[in-house]
Parts: sequence; structure tokens; C-alpha cells
Amino acid sequence: MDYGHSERPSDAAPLPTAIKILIAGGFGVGKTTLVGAVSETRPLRTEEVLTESGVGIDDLEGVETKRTTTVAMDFGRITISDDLVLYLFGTPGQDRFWFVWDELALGAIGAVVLADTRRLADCFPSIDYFEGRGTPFLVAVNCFEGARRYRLDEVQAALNLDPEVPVLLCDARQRESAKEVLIMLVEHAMKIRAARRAD
Amino acid sequence: MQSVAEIAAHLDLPVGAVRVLLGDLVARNLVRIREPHLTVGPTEHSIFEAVVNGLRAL
Repeated sequence: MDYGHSERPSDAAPLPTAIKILIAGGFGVGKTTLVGAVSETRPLRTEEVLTESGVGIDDLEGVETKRTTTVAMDFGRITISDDLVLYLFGTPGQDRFWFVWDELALGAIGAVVLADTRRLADCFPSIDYFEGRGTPFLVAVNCFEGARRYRLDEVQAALNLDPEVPVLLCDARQRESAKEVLIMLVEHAMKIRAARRAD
Repeated sequence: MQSVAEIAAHLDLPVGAVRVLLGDLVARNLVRIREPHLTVGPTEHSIFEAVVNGLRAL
């Protein structure tokens, strides 16, 4: 039997498995910061600096120090091993870019909803979205300097979250904190998938 | 392996344009694609554990 010479020897090498996690939340809540804190490279992004007309459209109250916003998406990559790569996709912060979400959410194992207690309502749309799609998610309260701290149960109640949804405090700038958030999300997603299989 | 988003960022092109380009390359067997879907079952569990362990080791 003659199998011949493979024209594409690269076919023999197995492709790594890609795992996708979404980082969602309101405008200026620290999504890009969180991605950057754990990504092996600087977050890649399609970003436009807001012009004066943009400032008029976006509600900047409570995010005084933020000068630019991500209008498309930003993402990072963590190579776990030769056969496993984790991608972090920041979702667009502004409602008018939500058309990007459906594609982003495809195949994602779960989502981190970042919350800022000064603008807690900003994460309602993200929560609604993931609840609607059945995407496992948790809420990570980014502890901004000068922001009033709330107890986690207060946040849980204010967001009317299912008691199974994990809520934790984080500092999106800190690598260890961002790692903890992602680990908790993956463990939560594992639990949910196991429960769904059991049903 | 690169995600479509990565390729778009490196080329500084819109994702939609890159997707069309990649579609042509796929049709010519010049690139392979892997959908980010997990196989269900014990493999899935071990992948999740590998992700958790990998994150801890960062």
C-alpha cells in the first residue's frame, strides 16, 4: 500500500485547544486593565481615542480619569501549554457596539462581569445578556481608589443575582487578583457544566 | 495558532475583512481553523483543570 507523501506535513501536528473567556462590564470599569494584568503580551486592541464629539455621547460621570475607551474590542492571550491557549476577550463597553457580542460569546466557557460600585447599574446589561444565553459568569467588583466599598452581599442583592453566581472583590491592576478572578470563573463554569450534564 | 482577532490586530485590519480573507485561504486549504468548542465529557473536565492549574502557575 502506498500512502504517498503528505503534501501538508503540518496536518500531523495537533492544533492547540483554544479556550475563550469574556471580560464584560460597563464603560471604563477596567476590562482592558484586567486583560493586561494577566495577558502574556500587551492587550491587542482595536481602539479609537474618543474625540470631543465622542465625549458628548459617552457618559463620563464617575470615570473622570479615563481619557480613551475601547470602541471595538481588546484581548489577551495566555499560553497554558503547547496544546492549550486561553484567550481573554474584552467586550465593547458601549451599547452601540453590542452587535459584536454575539460573535464574541460564541464558544466562550464563561464571562467575568466587572462592576464599579459607583456605577453598579452599568453591569446590568452584561448580566442580562449572559443570563439570557446561559453563559456561566461571575461578578468581580473592581475596587477603585476612592470608591465606596460595599459588602459582597450588598452587591449581590443590588444586582438581584442568583445566589449561585459568585461575587468577589478584585483589583483589576493586580496580576494575582486577576488570576484569582479567572480561576474562580473556570471553577464556576466547571460546576455549572457538570450540573447541566447531570440534568 | 492565532485567533482571527489576533490576526486582525496584527494586520491592523477590521475583523470582518480578515474573516473574508481567511475564508478564501480556508477554501484553498492554506489555513486550518479550529472552532473554540469543547468536547463534552471527561476530556472537558481535564481541560478545565489544566486551565485552572495553568492560571495558578502564572
